[in-house]
Amino acid sequence: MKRRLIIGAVLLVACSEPTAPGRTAWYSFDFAGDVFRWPESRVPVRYYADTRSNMRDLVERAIGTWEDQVLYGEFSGEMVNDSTVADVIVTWFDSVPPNVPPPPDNGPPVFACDGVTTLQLDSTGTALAEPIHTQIRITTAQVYTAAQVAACLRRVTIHELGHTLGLLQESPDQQDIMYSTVQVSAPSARDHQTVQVLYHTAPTIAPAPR
Amino acid sequence: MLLLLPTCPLARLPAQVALHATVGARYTSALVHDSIVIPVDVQPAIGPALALAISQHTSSPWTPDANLDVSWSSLQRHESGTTSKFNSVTTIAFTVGVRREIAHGLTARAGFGAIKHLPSEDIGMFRTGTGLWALGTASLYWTPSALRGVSRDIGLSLRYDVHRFSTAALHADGFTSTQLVHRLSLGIGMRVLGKGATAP
Ligand SMILES: [Zn+2]
Repeated sequence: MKRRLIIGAVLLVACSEPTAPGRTAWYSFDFAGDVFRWPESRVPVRYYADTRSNMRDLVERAIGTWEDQVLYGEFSGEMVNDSTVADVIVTWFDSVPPNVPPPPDNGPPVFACDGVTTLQLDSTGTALAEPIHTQIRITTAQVYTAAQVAACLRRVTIHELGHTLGLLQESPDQQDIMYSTVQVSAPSARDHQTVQVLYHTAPTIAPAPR
Repeated sequence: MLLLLPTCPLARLPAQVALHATVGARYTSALVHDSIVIPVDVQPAIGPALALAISQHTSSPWTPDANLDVSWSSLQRHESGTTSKFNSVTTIAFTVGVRREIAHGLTARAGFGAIKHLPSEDIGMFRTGTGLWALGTASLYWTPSALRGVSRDIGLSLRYDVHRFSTAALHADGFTSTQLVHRLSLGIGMRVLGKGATAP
């Protein structure tokens, strides 16, 4: 009887410790060996969005998308109305799309827009010198439908905000939102795991002081 | 239910029924043990706990009761020796059980029921909600001899309970089994309505 009780207790302990899932499917996020991510003390990260057209909606949506990739509050963002207190400033590069609800885009992804994110290091090379700047540009080489532009803007804004989180490399896989010419509308499992690994890796670059 | 308390007239309770309240603090073990590059644990901080128990006194030494237990705590992430708060959670547990006096002034209770976690923000591991988990509990209630029989049976309560925990978001992230969660609370209780022995 005593032995049975002991065996029961051992089983209870054994099944009380689930194995943590392995995060093995991730791509590199460093920049020449340096790692940037927002430290705990700077979360929520402050985002300022260009007030023209629907930039604020695009940025809020992208922040929410990235917040959903972490389990334990490692990253979160908030919108600020003053660019001088922002950690990240997102603006239109030149032309501004009309602020009208576009029809749904059910076609294949087209590259009706692109973006660039700039992290400026200070003289020590261990901290950012200024807020991160992201610019979103509407491609004018061809004429695209409003739906194509809107779908592209959603994809590219998520991609560029991925860089602002610290994903400093492009993914080599076109199924990932961090692929250089974005073809998907949401982070993949690999993007998901990469952010999780990044936010538990010690950074070597600090954000710009507030 | 808590708000209704002050308005319940004493006379409405049958003589054998008693309502007992306990206020205290609760320790909870980790809800999640993860490993992302480094070990990461998620654990509720020690927080306040409030319980209400309604019991039906019978001629048997066993007294059936029902217990509603609510507690609040911030959720903490522990990793690399640092602790960060990232959300908070309210737990509501309802159990039915029996209790009996096991020594003079000392009552023991055992019960089972269910527990629900209500996060303040539906983010991260809580982004797709939480389930209802079965819960088992055991507790002791001790009334010091000086207070016994007077002053509404004021006493000390020590409660242990155990349940399993996971969320849909954790499952989607690859957690295929659930975490056993232990809770321990210490509180001060008193009978607020009715007559009868103490209820842990
Ligand atoms: Zn890029």
